[in-house]
Amino acid sequence: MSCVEGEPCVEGRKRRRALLALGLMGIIFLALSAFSFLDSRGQAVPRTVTYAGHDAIAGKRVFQAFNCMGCHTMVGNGAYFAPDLTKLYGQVGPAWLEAFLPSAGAWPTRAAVQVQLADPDVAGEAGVTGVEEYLTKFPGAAERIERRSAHASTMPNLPLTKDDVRGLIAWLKYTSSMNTEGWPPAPRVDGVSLRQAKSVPVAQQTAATSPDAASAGTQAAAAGAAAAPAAARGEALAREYGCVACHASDTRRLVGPGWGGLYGSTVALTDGSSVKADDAYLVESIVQPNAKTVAGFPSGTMVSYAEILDREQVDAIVAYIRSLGEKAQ
Amino acid sequence: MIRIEYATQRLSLRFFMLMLVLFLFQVAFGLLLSAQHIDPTLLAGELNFNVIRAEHTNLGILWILSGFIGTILFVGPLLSKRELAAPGLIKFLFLALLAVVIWNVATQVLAQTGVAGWWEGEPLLQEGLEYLEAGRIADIVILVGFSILCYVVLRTFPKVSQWNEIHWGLGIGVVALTGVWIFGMFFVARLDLQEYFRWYVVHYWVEGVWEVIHISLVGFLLVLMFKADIKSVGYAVFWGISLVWLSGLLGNAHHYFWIGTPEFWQFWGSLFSALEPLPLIFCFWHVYLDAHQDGKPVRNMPAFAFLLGSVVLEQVGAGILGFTMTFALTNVWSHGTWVTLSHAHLALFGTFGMLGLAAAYYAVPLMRGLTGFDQRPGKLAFWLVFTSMLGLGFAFAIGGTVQVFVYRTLGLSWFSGDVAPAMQFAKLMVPIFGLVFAIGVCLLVYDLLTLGLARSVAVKRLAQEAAARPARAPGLWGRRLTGWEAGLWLLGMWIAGAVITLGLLSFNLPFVQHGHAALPYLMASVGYPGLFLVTLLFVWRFLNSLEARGQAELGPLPATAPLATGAT
Amino acid sequence: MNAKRIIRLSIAILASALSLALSWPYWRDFGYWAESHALWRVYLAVGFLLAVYVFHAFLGSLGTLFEHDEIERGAEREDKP
Repeated sequence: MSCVEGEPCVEGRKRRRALLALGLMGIIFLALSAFSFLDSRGQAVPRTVTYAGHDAIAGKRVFQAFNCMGCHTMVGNGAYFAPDLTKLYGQVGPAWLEAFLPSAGAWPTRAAVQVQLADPDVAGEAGVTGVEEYLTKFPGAAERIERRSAHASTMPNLPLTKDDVRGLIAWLKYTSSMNTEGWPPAPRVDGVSLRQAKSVPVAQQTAATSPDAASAGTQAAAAGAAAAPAAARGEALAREYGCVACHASDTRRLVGPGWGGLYGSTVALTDGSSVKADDAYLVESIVQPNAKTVAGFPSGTMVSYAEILDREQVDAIVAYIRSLGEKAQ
Repeated sequence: MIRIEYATQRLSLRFFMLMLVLFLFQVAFGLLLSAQHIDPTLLAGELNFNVIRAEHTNLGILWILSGFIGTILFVGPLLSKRELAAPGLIKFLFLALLAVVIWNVATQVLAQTGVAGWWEGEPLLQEGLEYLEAGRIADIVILVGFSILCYVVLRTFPKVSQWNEIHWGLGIGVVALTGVWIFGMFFVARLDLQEYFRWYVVHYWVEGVWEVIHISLVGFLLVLMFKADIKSVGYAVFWGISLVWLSGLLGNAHHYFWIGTPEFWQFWGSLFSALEPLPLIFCFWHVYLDAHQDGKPVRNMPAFAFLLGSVVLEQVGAGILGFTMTFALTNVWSHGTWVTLSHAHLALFGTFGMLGLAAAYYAVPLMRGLTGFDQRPGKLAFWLVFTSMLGLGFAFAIGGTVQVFVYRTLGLSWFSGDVAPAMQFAKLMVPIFGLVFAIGVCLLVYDLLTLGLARSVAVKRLAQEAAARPARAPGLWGRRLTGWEAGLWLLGMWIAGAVITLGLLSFNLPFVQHGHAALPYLMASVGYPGLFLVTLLFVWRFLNSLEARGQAELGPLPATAPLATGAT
Repeated sequence: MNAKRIIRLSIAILASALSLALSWPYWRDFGYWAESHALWRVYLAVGFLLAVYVFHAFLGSLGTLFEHDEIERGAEREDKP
């Protein structure tokens, strides 16, 4: 059919030539593939990356188990519902991720990041000594705190353990160190400050970016010290220091136990004993959170606030918890 | 007398029915996703976005596969002039498919609590990789299922020396379907290597194997519908498949631009994906020519409408939209945004989904022994799903263009604060078109499920009415579609495609990068609606010109089913 | 026949050149030996030649597709004079 009568039939030759070209392409493809994964290429590999004693491969298993790619993208592949995670570690640093991941439903505050830096492992990984230095080194964290601090996020809280969180951070540290050949392209302008680029209704944008909004918590905490009753001050502190990211004001379980109805109740502990949630217990749980762990919760998730809050602030938070207990009863 | 020639062809019916049911569920999950895009707190914590999305993509793959299997089983005996081998195994294959679908739907929910079922380093229950979310247990069952399909197809076919190009296409297709799947069955620690192998499965399935099966099946359906000459169809199948691989083998490199593999892939991937539309243009002309070989009436319009839809959406979704975003210079912007979604929905549902639906519309009436059926619901359903899918493509493309500007050019990464509000208009369009699509799908599924079961009386009356109606003169839209005119329509689509490509390229211009979106926005708002409008009108024109040929009964299958002959 | 060949080859070369222009890599730093200047020249040359071949094969097979159609139409006309 493909041969017209009276002309020499070349169809067979054409087909053999097509298969030959295909074979050549196959060889090129395999050669390029081999070049892509040689050690001499110098690409980062997860085998050599660890974060605070957790290795990146374990983190990859967590990343897959929670199907993070089902909302986010990684090297641009995934679901386009949430931001790309490839270079996140380099932008926000470990302390911000430590503060965010256990309670992803809310954006971390500056104080919450500061709390994480109290852990020498985290501070060591970040390579900084204080929160000021941290925010300079990781401008992504500074921007997030300025614009989103203490707002609700649209990510659901995930039941991540301390090991899961650190594994994930190790994985993100690896992906962040990968050479992705110029992707994503670096923006030439700063979208936040560009006038014509405002995509959020102006009122909302001002509210989110103005320094008043960002530091509202701090001001309320400072100014209200004398006037407001201790419980209100405690509430402001709880928001400011990121407590509410993990502890609900009702009986729901987020990352840690809910505070509603907690005060005065009897709490079962992991060692089988139980304790009455009075002032002394609550203070101890803030200052030395791992001394007594509530049954059903992993130990070592919460950091100690002994160096972060003074005694008066701890008392105010306890007063706030007490007020929640009274409301629930 | 209408009958089907081989009893085992009837085994395809259950796969077509399963396809329809899974399709319904997939659409329902898709609607839920579009609602979550508008209100991200909807069902958050109960049924998270990632779970629903995994169900949506996996069901999409599974129903397309179910349609492929049904079609292959239906044409297998015709291609071989004998009954299918091992009908018992085919019945088992169906049960295995059903079991694996239910199992996979159930295990995807475990992603919410992070349970993957790790055992010996492999995730047994679910593994959270886009498109390959199924865990190892499901992977293995699917591999066994593919192997059964290979066995059945190869045992049913005649001796290799008697194979024509369609046999070769389907034979290589089913074997490669199985072979490529294996690359997705290992946990890979390196991200770049994991993505490298993940695209082996996804790209080589879609742009290698599925495309080959698609070309073979389209070719054979044309033989059945238009009694096209088997040898010239065979010629088209050979060169169609060859062009798919000559462009797609190295074209896979367009997935290796940014995953951490070296920069040379940017060149190879861009160049060969520029060639990837060639087999699709080839297939487009193949369908045009075969449909116009003789001027005889088309007996089964819904079947042909879906077949045409498949080839045209392949041209638009895979060919043109794929082309616009496949160059490193455009992909660096479109990658990881909704622009991709526009391409993915049109290409996957269009090319492969519509082929399964076309085959179902062709095969189900024959298997139910109908001499004629009320074709109006089928045609209406086609127009509903076709139009609304183009609408979805439009919504995703516009949303994607805005997303590129806000997220990439301005660097605003706060999705709920900056990106989503900017995309709000597009996000609202998605469920609207989605609802129309869902209505079309419900009609389609109802029509195919009940076809010939209850409505025979009405059909007779309809046939009488149609016979009594005086033939209308073909209007402007019903004239014969000449090759020149079809070429002009195709050119129109590609001109719109060129505008879209230039629009994406314009993101590289310094003044756009300094925050001026007018140019890319203008190009997108001309290019995308232009493309979809031309597509819609072209299909309207094509089907109208066929309708004008008049009505005819379904008639029997070609008495002399094409005999296997060697390649010319 | 010869003129047809020349036209097809010219179109293939032109189209390949255009594809090559569009395929310019977004990013090149020549850092890795497989990304050296010399190898890049090889990639561009081999890629271009293969693209010309694929375009040429496409044009040839599409032409034959239309020839088939002509032949079959002719046969049909002969069937029913």
